Amino acid sequence: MNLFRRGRPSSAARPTPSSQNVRQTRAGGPPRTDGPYANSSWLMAHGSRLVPPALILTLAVVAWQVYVTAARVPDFILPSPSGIWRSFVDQHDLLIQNTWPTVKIALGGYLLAVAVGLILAVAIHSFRWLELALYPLVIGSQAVPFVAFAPVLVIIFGYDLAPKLIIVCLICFFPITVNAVDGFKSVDPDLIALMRTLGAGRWRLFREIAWPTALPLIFSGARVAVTYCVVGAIFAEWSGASEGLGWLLRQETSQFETGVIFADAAVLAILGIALFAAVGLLERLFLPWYHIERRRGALSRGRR
Amino acid sequence: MVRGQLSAVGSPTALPNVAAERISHAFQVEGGWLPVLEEVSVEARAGEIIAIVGPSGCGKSTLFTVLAGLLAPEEGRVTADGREITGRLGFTAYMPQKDLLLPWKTILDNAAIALELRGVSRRDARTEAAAWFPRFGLAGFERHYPATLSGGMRQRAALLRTILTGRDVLLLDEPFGALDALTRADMQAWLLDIWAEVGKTILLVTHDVDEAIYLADRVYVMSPRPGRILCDLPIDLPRPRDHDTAVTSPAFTALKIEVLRTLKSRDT
Repeated sequence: MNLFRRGRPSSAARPTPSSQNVRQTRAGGPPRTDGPYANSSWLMAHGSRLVPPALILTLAVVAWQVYVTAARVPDFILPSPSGIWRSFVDQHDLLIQNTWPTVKIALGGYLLAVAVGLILAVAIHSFRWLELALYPLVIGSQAVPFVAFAPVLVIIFGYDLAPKLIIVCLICFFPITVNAVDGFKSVDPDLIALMRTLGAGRWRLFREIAWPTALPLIFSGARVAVTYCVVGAIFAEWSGASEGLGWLLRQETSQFETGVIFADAAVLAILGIALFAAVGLLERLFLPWYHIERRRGALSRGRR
Repeated sequence: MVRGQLSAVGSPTALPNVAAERISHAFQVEGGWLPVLEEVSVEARAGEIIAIVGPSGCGKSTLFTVLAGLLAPEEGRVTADGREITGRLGFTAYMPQKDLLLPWKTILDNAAIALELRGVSRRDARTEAAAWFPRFGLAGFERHYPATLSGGMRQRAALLRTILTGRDVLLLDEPFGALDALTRADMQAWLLDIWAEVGKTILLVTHDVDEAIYLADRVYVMSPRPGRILCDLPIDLPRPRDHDTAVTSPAFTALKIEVLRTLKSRDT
């Protein structure tokens, strides 16, 4: 699709470092995607990617506004976008006050989930008996409705931060663990053999081969998990809290303040998108090689 | 040609730098055993280039994993300067067919890892590896990732990593197999230059007869599976060898005919 490739200069215009010893026998290979032009083309490609969803969102909001106005739907049943905006403006102090506690729970629980998820994955990868003992339980744990347990956890651990972090962690850790375990397993055995001839021991093999091999998969697990963490935080607050966007949702629901509820939901959506984008940004920072390879792969399938 | 004649390079009294003695091995496959090597003996003296030629699937690569210490053969032993090293890693530097550069490391770090795994600090390893880059035609590409380089460059980076292990014996498994003919000829000439500089012992597996004769002091010809050594042919072409002159000389042609005949004697 041209939409995604706009702004990339042709390979002919790209300066390549030359060296006296190298005869360039491979004429006209695929264009290089690193180098000084990569960043600007990245921005343009991604900027243009925002246009279609923004367009659809705008259309939906307009249709919504028209419908509510034309059909005279009462505000407490379905507020119009302009009504939601008014609630947002009126209640922005309340919303902002309650955002930070939710961010704390979502982010704290998420980081806990990343740590727990990775530790579990490394343990499962390192010891066969742990894989046999633990992996089925980890998978089974996903059948447990943690949402239903949330109030119980609150009874056990109290109203402070700990039970909320645990709830978020339980909801988020799974994709990270599964992806990391799969990633560790997908190492190239030839690479392992080569590294062994170079003198690498168990720890080096893990650090130099298994970990970097798994990292792209770990990041995609982390991206899935981050979308759960906001929802997890809402459940945690729902079941017992005195502040936070989840608590506010519950308060306003009982009072039919639908405008504030929608405004609250919009803040949560923005929060979710921001966290998702942040993980994506981290991935880009940590895996520059992976993105170079992926873009090359898209340009020339099946090199070698 | 006389069998077993000593080449000009190795000294006749010294123990072989590396030797495989009567190696036999079979792999377990569905419904039995698949013999891949049968009493294979090869040896290389210090500073020699040895080429092993044979049809695909004749067990050349298996022989190399044995020499590298990755695989303990069912029968036979491997020695280095007379010491037994069968099934032990760390005596030879093995460069597999695929370049196997780590995609997440820059070219510089890929080469430097051989030094790091010898206990050199990362900084010193980078400095030392970087010093080799111009000689390997990689200057300016230190911070590139392998995916952005051509096949020839990746192969040179892999060879640099192999040399930086500091081991005397290099095992090169079809080092130029994946390259196009022109790049390959360049790389062969360049390999001879590097070899003359660093003075390593090189064992090289190839199915390219020209490459074997052009590069080697001695050529072993292997039979199809199960691999056996059919002949051990000294290559007494004068060094340094210029590629175009060497491969068109009558002596080269005579050697090539001999190798091809030996290969064919088992084919049909």
